[in-house]
Amino acid sequence: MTIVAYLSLGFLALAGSLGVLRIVRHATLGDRAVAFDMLTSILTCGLLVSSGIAIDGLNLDLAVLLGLLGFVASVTIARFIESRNEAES
Amino acid sequence: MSDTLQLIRDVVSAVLMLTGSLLALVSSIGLFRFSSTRARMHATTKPATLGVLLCAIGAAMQFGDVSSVAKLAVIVVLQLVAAPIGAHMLGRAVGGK
Amino acid sequence: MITRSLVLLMLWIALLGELSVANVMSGVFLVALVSWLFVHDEPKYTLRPLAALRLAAHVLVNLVSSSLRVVLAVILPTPQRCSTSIQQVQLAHGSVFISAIVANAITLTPGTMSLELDASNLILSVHVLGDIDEASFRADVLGLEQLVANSVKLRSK
Repeated sequence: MTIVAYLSLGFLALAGSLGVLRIVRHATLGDRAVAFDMLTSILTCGLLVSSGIAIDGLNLDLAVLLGLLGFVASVTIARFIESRNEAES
Repeated sequence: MSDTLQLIRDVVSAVLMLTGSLLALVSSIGLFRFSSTRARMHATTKPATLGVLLCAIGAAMQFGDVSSVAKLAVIVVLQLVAAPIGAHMLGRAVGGK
Repeated sequence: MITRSLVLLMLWIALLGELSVANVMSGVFLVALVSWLFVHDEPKYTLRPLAALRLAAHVLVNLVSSSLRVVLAVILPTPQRCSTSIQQVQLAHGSVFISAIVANAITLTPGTMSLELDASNLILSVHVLGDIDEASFRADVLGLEQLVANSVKLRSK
């Protein structure tokens, strides 16, 4: 099981760093919002994998909170972009 | 007999978790490969949601008690419902192709 | 309203973990509080369990095949796989509730993502990734809408 842990958490770490790279480099505001949404999914995956391998149910509450708050953040950024578009035009 | 069952259970949940994390990796590669923001949203919602679903099923096979499996079901339902709605609102706000 | 409250109560107990008296009592109190504060109308539709299960299975199969399609477009990109277009579909069942569920489910089907639902005319704008045949796409969306319409039933007063 340890090799599975290393492999899958390694993939997720790589995916997370790619997401952060997308936020930092040459991106429009919408791109950054999409990358942020993706980061919350990757974090949820990471929490599920690590708590599944350690068989420790303590981190699952964190994953529920991440899902809820990440969704609220996505919708808030989307409405902000919309209101900014309306204010410009 | 229960040893082989445990082995099968471990192998299946390991495969599921590996596949889930590979899908998450592919979806973040897709953030770079696609050329427009709305196309990148395709890459964000679909493989990532399936990845969370597979990781959750893999983790649920390892847990024995009902409360953790119930929390995992809540996580999956939340992800399945919230990801398309978030993508829809972002797709409306962001213009372009 | 009973079904809604029961679902909320089960959600609360699932989040807390164990089925104890304190959890159930706090759940009943919270559900009553939330219903009194935020819920002001009776639900207009009831659920048909068997058809809803069929819809859920259909959506899950679509989720797997759409992820595979996106993986293919990321790993081996060809111009046909990565072309984007916007299509519009007129939904035929005349109900905003059903159209909302269809718009949510369309995002999880291969190659499509719902962009805008015009509530007065019930026209769904969909962003499509990859080359797609217009007639089969329209037939897919209308078929999905028929599945959703079979899963809910208008409650008659």
